[in-house]
Amino acid sequence: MKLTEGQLGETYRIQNLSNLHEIVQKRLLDLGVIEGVEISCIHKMPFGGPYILEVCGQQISLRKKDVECIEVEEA
Amino acid sequence: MEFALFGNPNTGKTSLFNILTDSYAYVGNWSGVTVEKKVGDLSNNKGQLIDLPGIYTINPLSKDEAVATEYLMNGSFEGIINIVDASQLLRNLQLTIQLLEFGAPMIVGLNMIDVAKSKGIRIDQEKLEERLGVPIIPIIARTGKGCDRLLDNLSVHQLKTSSIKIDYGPEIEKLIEEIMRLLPSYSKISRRWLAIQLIDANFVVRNKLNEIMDLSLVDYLIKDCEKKIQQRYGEKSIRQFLFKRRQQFIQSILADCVTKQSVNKKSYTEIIDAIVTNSVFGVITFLGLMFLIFKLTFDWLGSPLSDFLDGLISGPISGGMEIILEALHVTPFIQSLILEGIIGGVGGVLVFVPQIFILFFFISLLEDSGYMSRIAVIMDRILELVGLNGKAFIPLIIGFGCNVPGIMAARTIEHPKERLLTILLTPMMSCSARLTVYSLFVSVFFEQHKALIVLSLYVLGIVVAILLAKIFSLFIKTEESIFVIELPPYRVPQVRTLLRSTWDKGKGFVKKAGTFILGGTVVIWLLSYVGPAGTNVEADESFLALFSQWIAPLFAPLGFGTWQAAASLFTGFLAKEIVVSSMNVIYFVPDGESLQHIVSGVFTPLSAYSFMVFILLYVPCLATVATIKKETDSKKWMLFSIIYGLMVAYTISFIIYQGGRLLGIGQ
Repeated sequence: MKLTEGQLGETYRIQNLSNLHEIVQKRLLDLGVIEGVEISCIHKMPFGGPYILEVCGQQISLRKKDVECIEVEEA
Repeated sequence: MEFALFGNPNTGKTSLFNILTDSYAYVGNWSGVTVEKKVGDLSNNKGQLIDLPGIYTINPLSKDEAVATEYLMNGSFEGIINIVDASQLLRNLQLTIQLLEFGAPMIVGLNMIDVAKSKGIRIDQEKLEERLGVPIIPIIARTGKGCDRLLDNLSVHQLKTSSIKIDYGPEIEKLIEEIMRLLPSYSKISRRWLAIQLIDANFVVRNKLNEIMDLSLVDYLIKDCEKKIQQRYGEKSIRQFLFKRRQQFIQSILADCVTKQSVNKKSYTEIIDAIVTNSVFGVITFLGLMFLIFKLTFDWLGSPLSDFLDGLISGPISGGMEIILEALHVTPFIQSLILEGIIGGVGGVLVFVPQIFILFFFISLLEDSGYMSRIAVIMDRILELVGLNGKAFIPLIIGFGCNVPGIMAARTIEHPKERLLTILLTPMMSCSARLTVYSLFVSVFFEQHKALIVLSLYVLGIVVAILLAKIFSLFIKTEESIFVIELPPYRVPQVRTLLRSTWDKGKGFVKKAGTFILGGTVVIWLLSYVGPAGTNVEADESFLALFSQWIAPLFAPLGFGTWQAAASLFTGFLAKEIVVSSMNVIYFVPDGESLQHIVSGVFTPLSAYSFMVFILLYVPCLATVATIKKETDSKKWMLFSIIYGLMVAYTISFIIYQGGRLLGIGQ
């Protein structure tokens, strides 16, 4: 499922990142975010704004359209 | 001796730099690019330290990051200090490994051991040192703990070159060897490192090698190998494969050296973020904070300090100087130059030093606390609508202090088009120099609503910038924009770091007053002192007046068609503060009277507001224009920024003045 369909605060495991823009994928790789890593959404901004995610012990922010491209499964 | 400071973003690099160095030896520019190059003298006088932009990996994404890679390849440093966040070792060591592979003498500063400890992370430092093969010093850069030891260890014979060698697997190792054979043998840089970076598709390394050799065979070999990797390991890309190999290596080290106990305690970052990044309260908190900062800068703290300084300069200093000059029997020409030209002009600008420093203090506070990146997240949705990126908000906010560093800060934006847009819009942000003009006028015409009127100008700048962004983005087509930002944990800013970065930002203003503004004012004074009829002419008959009278009618529809206003606007191109010092000189402020008094006779509240709006929006100052040229690397965009500024300023001031007259407000 898409990460946006999950619950806030729940932890999921990343299944597929290859639908993301290439630069986003590369920056995520720099941050250690790859398939198999656990991820959770902790906040989302109003009016379809960005999400704040917790992954690899750090907080990062991505736009909703990018979060939609992250495929996850139950951890 | 030169040392280079490498590290991930948000690992306390700046704190460490501030502690290890006494002062900036100089702040210059990297050759060819305008990212600030900060060089500091080490406090043990053993050499200099170069502060580099924070990077996650040697393989850069943005121009900002490319600077660090270029320096690694071309710089003349003797050793590397690598600062590492102890609470984020898995990620931080990726960079460390790449630096070790590069093969320069190195020392690791293991920072934030206190944070790591509170997270239940224990690190066996000796074992880690053994595994990495370079000295490791645990430090807490924020408090300075351990930094003395780091400094003591900073000499070439103590830094070590590691013999670390990661096994990237048979396919990659074979590829590395093949590429190494193709590389020129005289290179002073490790050929293995070059080969690995080429495989990783590092464009800085690639471009550099492309200058001296044909890379088509290398590219072919890499492509071929990538296919094999994809088939055999099911990996998406060679880059990800390299990353995983390094990560496995790091994990094997960490398994040996690090123990982690889970701590179930809510960190204060989580508690603050529950409010600050809350979908409702987030925006409210942000606006509230901004308002508070403006109130403090202009009303509660700034104004009393400025008034005090003004009293000092126009009273005892000016009076004392007059007595001294009288006693020395100096010619009236020199007397007038010093009293009206220099003290009147430069003093009129120096009065605003407190407000400018207070504003810079708060900008530093936002930067250091970790709130700045939250602002980017909160603002992203709005900025996305106009073709920008949340990260653009940071250059814009820095632009409130001074447009020049604001434009430079746009380098963190990965996307070239979004970066260009941000650069073009930053001059709309009301910088602290323009504040001098507002301060003068609001104290005359809007005594009751000082902060509100000034805030309205800042907001106007933002609104205009947003509208222009929308218009520009129709012409400068932005492709899909990128927004990935790390939110560092909140940190209580250190007084030392805060004061230093405030001073670093603000000293430019003081320096400008002593050089640029002083020079500009003297010229203005001279032009207003001499005329066709000789020296010491009536101001109306000076060269300045004659010249400005030509342009003045152009400004009549905006409500300030006097030659004095035209002259001060003209000189304002040098630096916006000169507007105020020019007025001091041009209006020939007599003893016992203030410029405020004179201005109140010449302007109406409406024309004063229209004048302030014009100052806000018209041509960026000389320094900003020069920075735009450097950053965009194009004369075209530089000219564009001048022309569109003038057009926008004229249009909006016209609407405000004529609209106000129709409605009968503020006459």
